[in-house]
Amino acid sequence: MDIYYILSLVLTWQNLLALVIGGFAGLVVGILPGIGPSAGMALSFPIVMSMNPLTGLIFMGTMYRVSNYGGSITAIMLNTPGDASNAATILDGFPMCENGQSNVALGISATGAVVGGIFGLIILIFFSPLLAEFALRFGPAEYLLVAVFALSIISAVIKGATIKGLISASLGLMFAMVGYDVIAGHLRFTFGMDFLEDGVPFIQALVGFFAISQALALSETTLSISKVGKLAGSFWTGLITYFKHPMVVLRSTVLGLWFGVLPAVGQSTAGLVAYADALKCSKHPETFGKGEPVGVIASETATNSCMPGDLVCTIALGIPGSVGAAVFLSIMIAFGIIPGPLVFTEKADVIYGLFFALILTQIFIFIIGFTLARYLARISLIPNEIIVPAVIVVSLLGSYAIRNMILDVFLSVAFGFLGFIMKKAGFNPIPLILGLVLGEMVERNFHRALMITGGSYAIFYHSIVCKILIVLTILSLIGPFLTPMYRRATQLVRRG
Amino acid sequence: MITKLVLNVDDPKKVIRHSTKKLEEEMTNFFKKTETIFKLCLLALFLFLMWAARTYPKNSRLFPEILGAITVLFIIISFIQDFISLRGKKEKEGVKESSPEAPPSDIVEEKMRWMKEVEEKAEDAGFEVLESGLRRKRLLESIVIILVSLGIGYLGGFLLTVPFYFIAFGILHGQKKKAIKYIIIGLAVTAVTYLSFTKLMGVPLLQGLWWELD
Repeated sequence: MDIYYILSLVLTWQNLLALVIGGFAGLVVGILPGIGPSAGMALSFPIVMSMNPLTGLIFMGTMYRVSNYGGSITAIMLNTPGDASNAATILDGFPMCENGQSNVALGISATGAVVGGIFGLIILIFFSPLLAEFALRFGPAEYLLVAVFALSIISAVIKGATIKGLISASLGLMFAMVGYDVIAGHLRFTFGMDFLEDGVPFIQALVGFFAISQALALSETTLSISKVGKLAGSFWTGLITYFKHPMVVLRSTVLGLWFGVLPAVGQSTAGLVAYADALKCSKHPETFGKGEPVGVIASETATNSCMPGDLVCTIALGIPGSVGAAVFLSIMIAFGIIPGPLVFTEKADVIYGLFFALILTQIFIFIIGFTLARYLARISLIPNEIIVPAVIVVSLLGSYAIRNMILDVFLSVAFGFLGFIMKKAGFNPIPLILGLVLGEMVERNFHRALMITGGSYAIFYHSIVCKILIVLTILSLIGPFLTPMYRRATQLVRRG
Repeated sequence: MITKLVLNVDDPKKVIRHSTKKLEEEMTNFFKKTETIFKLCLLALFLFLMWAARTYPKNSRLFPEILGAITVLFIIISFIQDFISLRGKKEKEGVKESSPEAPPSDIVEEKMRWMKEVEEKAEDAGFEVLESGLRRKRLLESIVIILVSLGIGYLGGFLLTVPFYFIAFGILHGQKKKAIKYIIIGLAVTAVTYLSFTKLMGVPLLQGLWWELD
C-alpha cells in the first residue's frame, strides 16, 4: 500500500467536495428521526452513480459516517436516536440535556466520534485483512451467543431491573419473528396483515418507541426539554471531560473494534456493551442513567470505533453489520466492487482511499460539532408546545417516507403508545429495540447451529469461545443481584 | 393537591422537581397498577403467540415456543419479585408504625419553611409543576390530537396534518393568546417540509385522499 499514491487519489477537489456535501447530507438525514443513513444513502443512489467509484463511495461513506453523529445529536437533544446505533447514547445523553448540559454532551459526542473513529480507522487500515480472517472462525453458535450476551448485558444494566429488561428484550425478539420465517419461509404472526409480511419495520418501530413516546412524555409537562430552563457548560467542557477518562476511552475503543469486526452484530450492540462495561467499572454506578458523562463517552467511542470494523466486515466478507452497511454494500456492488477478502488487493486504491477519506470525515465531524453544537443545543430550550409537534411531524413523515405506506404511520403511533405505556410500567424499550435488531440473526444462527449438529444442543457449549460467552452472559445476569449482596457482606465484615 | 419544588442542595441553580408525599404515593400506586396490568397483558400476549404458533411447521414454531416459554417464566419471576418486595415493604412499615417516635415539631417547621423558600426560587426560574390531574389531561389531549391527526392525514395528507399539529398543541398546551404565532409556525413548517422533503431530497410525502400534489 503506497500511502502517498492513495493520498493523491483522495485529495482531489471532486473527492473533497463529495466529502463535504456527503457530510452535510449525512448530518441532515441523521438529525431527522426515521430518515437515517440507509434511507439517505438509498435516496442519493441515483446521483452518486454518475460519479467515479472512489468519489461515489467517499460521498456515501461520509454520509453514512456523519449521519451517525447526527443521530447522536437527536439522541442527546430529543431522546430520539437517528439510528439504532445511537440507542446507548440516549441512556445518559438525554438526562444530561435535561440537566441543561446539552453543550457538554454534544462536545463529548463530537470528541467521541473523532477519537473512536480515527482509532478505529487507523487500526483497521493496517489490520483489516487479518481481523476479517479471524472473524471468519466464528460459527453460528458463537454468533447466537454474542447476540444473547448483548441482550443480557443491556437488560442487566438498565436501572437494575434485570428481569424487566429481559422481558423487554424477549418482546423485541418476538416482534422480530413477525413475517416470513428466516429458515422455512413460513409466514408467522401477521394475522392477515399484508404489510407485516416483511416483518415489523425497524425504523418505524424505532420512531414510535423513542420519538412518539418521548413526545407524549414531553406533552405532560410545561417549559422545555431542559428542565433547568437554561444551558450550562460548553463544547470545550465536553472535550476536556472526554479526555479525563482515558481508560473508558481505551476500553470502549477496543470493544467497538471487536464488535465491528464481528459480522452482523453492529454498532448498537457495541455502544450498549461499552456502556454496560463503563457502568460496571465505575466507582459511582448509581449516577448512570441520570446524566453521567462517562456513559456518553463509552457509548459514543464504541459506536464510532465500531463503524470502521462494520465496514470491514461489509467489504471483506460481504456481511453487513447494520441496515446502513447493507445499503453501502449494495452501492459497492453497483460500482463493480465485489466484496470478499480479495478486495483488499484487487481494489486496494478504492478501499484504502475510502478509509483515508473517512479519517478526513472525522475532522469534518469535529468542525461541525464545534461550530454548530451551541446552536443545536438551543433546541432543548424550545417550548414543549412547539417541540412536541415538531418531533411528531418529522418522525411520522420519516416513517411514511420509507415505504410510502400510511399503515407505517399507524404502526409508529401504535409503537409510540406501547413505548409510553412501557415506560410508565417501568420497562425500558431499549432492550426491545436491540431484540428487534438481533432477532433475525439470533433465530437464523440458532437453526444453523442445530442443522450442523443434526439437532444436538451441544454445539452451544462446545468451543472455548462459546464457553466464555456463556460465562459472561451468566455473570451479566446474576451480577446485579450479587453486587448488593457483596456490598452488604463487606459492610458486615467491616462492622465485625 | 399541593405539589412542591425542591432545589438541589449541591447546586442551587439546578431545579429538580419533587412531589409531596401524597402525590408520590399516588404516583407509585399508579405505576404499580400500570406495571401489573402491563405484565398481565404481556403474559396473555406470549401465551396467545405460543398458542398461535402451534400450527406452524416444526422449524418455524421451535424458536417462538422456546422464547415464549422463557418469557412466561420471566414474567412469573417478576410477579414473585414484586410480591417479595411488597411483603418486605409492609414488614418495614409495621416496624415503623410500632415505633411511636414522630420527628420533633421544629424539624418539621424548618423543613416546611425550606420547601416554601425553594418553591419560590423555582417559580422565579420559570418552572411550573403540574398537578397529576392536569398532567393526565394534557396527556389525553395529546393522544386525541395524534389520533385525530391520523384521520386528517389519511384524508388531507401532510398539508393539513402538519399545521394541525402545531395549532392544536399550541392552543391546547401553550397560550391561547399566541394562537397567531402557532398558525404562522405551522404554515412555515409545512412549507419547509414540502420544499425540503419533496423538492430537495425527493422524498414523497403523505398526499391524502382529497388531493394530489406534484
